[in-house]
Amino acid sequence: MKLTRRSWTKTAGLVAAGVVGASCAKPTRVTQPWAPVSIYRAASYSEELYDLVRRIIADHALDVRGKRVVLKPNLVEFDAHTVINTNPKLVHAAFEAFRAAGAAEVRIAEGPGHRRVTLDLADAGGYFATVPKFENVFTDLNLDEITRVALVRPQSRLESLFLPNTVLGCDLLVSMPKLKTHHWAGATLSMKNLFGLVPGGVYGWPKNVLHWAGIPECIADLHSLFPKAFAIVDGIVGMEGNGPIQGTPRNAGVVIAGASPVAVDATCCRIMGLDPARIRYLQLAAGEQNLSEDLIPQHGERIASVASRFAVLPGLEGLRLPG
Amino acid sequence: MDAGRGFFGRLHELRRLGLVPGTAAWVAPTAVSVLALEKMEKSGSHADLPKRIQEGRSFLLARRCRDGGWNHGSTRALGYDSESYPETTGIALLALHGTAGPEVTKGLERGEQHLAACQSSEAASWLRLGLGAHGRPTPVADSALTMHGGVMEIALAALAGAAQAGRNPFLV
Repeated sequence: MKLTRRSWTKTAGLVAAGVVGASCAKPTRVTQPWAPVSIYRAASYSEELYDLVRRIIADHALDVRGKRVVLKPNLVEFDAHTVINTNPKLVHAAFEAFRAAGAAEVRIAEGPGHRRVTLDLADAGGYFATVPKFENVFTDLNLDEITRVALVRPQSRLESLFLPNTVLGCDLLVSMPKLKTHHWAGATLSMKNLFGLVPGGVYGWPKNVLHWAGIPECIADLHSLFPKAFAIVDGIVGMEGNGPIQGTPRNAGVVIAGASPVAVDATCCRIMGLDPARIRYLQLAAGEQNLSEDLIPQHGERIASVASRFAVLPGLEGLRLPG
Repeated sequence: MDAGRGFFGRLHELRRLGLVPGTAAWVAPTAVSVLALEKMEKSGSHADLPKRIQEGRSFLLARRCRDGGWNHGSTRALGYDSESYPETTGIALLALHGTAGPEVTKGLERGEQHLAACQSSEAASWLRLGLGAHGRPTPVADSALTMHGGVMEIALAALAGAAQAGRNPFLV
């Protein structure tokens, strides 16, 4: 494995690579609307998902013609039958939809935090059975070539992160998490899913440096490097209670998507009955920008029509939406 | 032995056997440190070795999950028990070879359960090494394992195979 440990210290270089966007500048507008969020019902992991993702791409006018797209699911455990991992059917639906939309290349990429042999994990999670020639389109981000990226205004104690070149070099990163509660962060959604970008080959398993430097702060820092990531959240069957691993499956029957990870995650929180204003990583990432529901335009369903009150651990009751 | 003194001084500074300054000690680094220090002990290179090895083993026993095996580090989070992983259970058992007691027995039982349900070739190798170090049989149906690993996983499987044949390379 060839490692490229080139340190990028100039913001201009990051902009040229497409990994730094508007959120690196401190927001000053308090009531600026967020990018729209799509909320669609999906009762099961059926063939209908293929049309649904195409609809999402159309909703958000994503022009991926000739571009390199990386889909980043959440792969955690060896289990095809629980709800820990992003369902491979939704990931394959996105894979096919972005290819049909004209992307020059679509790759699926992940760097799991607990288990080392990622392809084994993906096989057990049903990815080989669902995605034809999966191994040819997959990159193990734990073992990818890497580049050191400086954090311009870090919220955590980290000053820089080594990140995989597959992700740094893509034109569109699509974060595809599971809709889950999280016993430390409150919720694990499109932004927490970016922990899987941080290479285990550098930081080890589990990715302890991110816990040591502060989970909410590291989530916000990773978001600052990929503020324009697109998010498609698998909320068809989510996880409530002691997530992200030991929780209970919860049929929520929704797919949530959008071009602002902050707005998507805030919407997901509301669907789960959590208050975005009480989720620390969202507050850090939003900065001074208001996360009020009426500032997040929506396609498809209204939050109230799909909301399902997810169970949370007793110590996290304070994160619930008022009422 | 200046290099050795520096190494042990650093270990004392870190408390337990964490490998990176400023970080907490976790199961896998502690376990491999115990195994490495045992190799040094055989050459009689430092008087502090037995104490440090015992501290590492005590740490491992203290970090046992309620289910008997080992997670990466924490045994509880927000009042809820952490579940053990097969890889970390295998490597902890390997570092605890020669140690007996009810805690180890429960760890061995959990390791055997993990091995019976194991889908990961890496995990199966660590479990074979760990269980075998305590004289436990290590049957595994290779057909149940996903085998997409690279050189490291193949090498680890070879080491586990050697251990099964009576030549555990970590214990020489």
